[in-house]
Amino acid sequence: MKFGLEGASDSSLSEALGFSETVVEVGLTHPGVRRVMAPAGGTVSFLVSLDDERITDLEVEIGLGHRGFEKEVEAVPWHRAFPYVARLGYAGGLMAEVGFCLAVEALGEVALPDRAIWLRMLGSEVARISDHFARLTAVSAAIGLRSAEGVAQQGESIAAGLLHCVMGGGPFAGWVRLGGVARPLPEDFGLRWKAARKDIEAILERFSLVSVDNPSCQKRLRGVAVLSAQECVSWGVTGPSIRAAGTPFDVRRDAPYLAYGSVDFDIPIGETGDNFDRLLVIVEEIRQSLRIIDQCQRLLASLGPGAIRLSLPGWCEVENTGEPAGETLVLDGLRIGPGEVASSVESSTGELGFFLVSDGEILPRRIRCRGPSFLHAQAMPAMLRGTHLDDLLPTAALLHLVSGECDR
Amino acid sequence: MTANLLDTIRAACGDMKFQVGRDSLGAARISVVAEEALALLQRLQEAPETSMRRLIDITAIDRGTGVGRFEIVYWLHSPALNERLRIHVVADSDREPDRERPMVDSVCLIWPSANWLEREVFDLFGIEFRGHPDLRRILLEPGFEGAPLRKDYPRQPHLALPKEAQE
Repeated sequence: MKFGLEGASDSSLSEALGFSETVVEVGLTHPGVRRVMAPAGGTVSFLVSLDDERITDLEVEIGLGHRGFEKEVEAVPWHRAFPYVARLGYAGGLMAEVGFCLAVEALGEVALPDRAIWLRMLGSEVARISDHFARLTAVSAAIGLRSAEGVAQQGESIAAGLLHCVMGGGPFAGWVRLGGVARPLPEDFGLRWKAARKDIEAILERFSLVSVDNPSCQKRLRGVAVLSAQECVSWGVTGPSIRAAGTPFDVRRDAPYLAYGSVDFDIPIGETGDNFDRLLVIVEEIRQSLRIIDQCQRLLASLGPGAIRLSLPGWCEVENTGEPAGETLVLDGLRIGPGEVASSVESSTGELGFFLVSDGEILPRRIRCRGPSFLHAQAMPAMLRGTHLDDLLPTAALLHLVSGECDR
Repeated sequence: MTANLLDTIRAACGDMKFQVGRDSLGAARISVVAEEALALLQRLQEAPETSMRRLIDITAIDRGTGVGRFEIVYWLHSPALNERLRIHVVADSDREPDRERPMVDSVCLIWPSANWLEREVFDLFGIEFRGHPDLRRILLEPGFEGAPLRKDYPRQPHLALPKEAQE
């Protein structure tokens, strides 16, 4: 590993002034990295080559949070993968659980009850709002906008509260199950949603005022870390970053899953693909998620109480026999397949894919998770060469590199 | 939609040898031998009819035993057609020297995003990529020994050691 002064700079001005290229490690214990990356796990380290303040090259070091996800989940029956799958993200882990379940259910060729489909969509969008607010908090902190950071944090906590109310527990509550969900919405969800929606809208207004409309925010983010639509495609960059570059690519629209094909929502796009466009896209996506939740909530209310999971043997069974009533002990696990399936969901970071291979045995042959953060981390040098050291952390915050799905 | 895609592929790559099919769920899937894979992937990316401009993922499967144990899977996306496609390539053969050293051609020159994806397959499956510019471990530390996603690699190697060695 290289530290300190390293090599000679190619800039003649720097040479004339007696400076040379410096390699700096912006690592795990760097207070900025901790602050900005903490909401996403933050196990990424940067080796930055600098010519004064200008970034000449960047090496992104990942893998520090590797926990052998694929090895572990291939060694246990399908339903026991959940504690790991949920930890592919934080609030966004719910979207990973949904993605994994959809892939397993496709392999098992089972059709979900309607209520489960709409509940999973509702849960996913609440989780997306929570994750997006976490990004807004992180980027505001990274560019030193304290009031914006506080406002976004309020949004994050309201969304987290709502998620808690949906799942009936903390971030890893095991709400999403193979073949459905664990419990319906609480009776007072309609009222709670009404209040939370009003608060989130007010928070977005306020956030726009203190951040988006703030000239100092614009100065820090405009024209920085630009990635064109074409570059996004060739680097495999998805999510808000490809939309900020002007391509309306969204798995929810292009390869619809659950009932995303039958709800109204718009896909916000930017023009230049810089950090400021990413910020605008993220803010607007929160508004679109509100619209989707509205439609899910209305539809669920009209469906009334009923089945929220499959009642086929092996599906929706868990090992915990304590509660709630009706869940039975699984001794054997689920036999599905043989077959292969590759399917994706749109997580808050981008396209989160699962590729499953089953031999028809109890243990899976292969479980592969395609984490968008892995590819986003790879594209960071292409975005950041030629920018300044100050731009590193805001970019990392907007990309929202989630350790769970990057390092797995 | 998938039927059209398969016809398009047959038309665009008619001079090449590969098998077109569908998996049990109806998704398009191509099998091709390792020697032909690079040319086919390049054609699929470049040909305007298919324009598979985005590489979604590269991964491997360990089938456990015998020749054809290791399979590389390329998952492609054509934004223009809004179609997805999987290409399966067997990475090992009974010919020397491949028998003990599964290897395929790197696709880094076709898709820059393949760089880290191939490094990960190298890291966790021990499959090499011919022509990769920087083939080294990515998720595990540089001194790590073994390929942990192979099925013959123990899940918890420290538990396989004698008791004294565990302390």
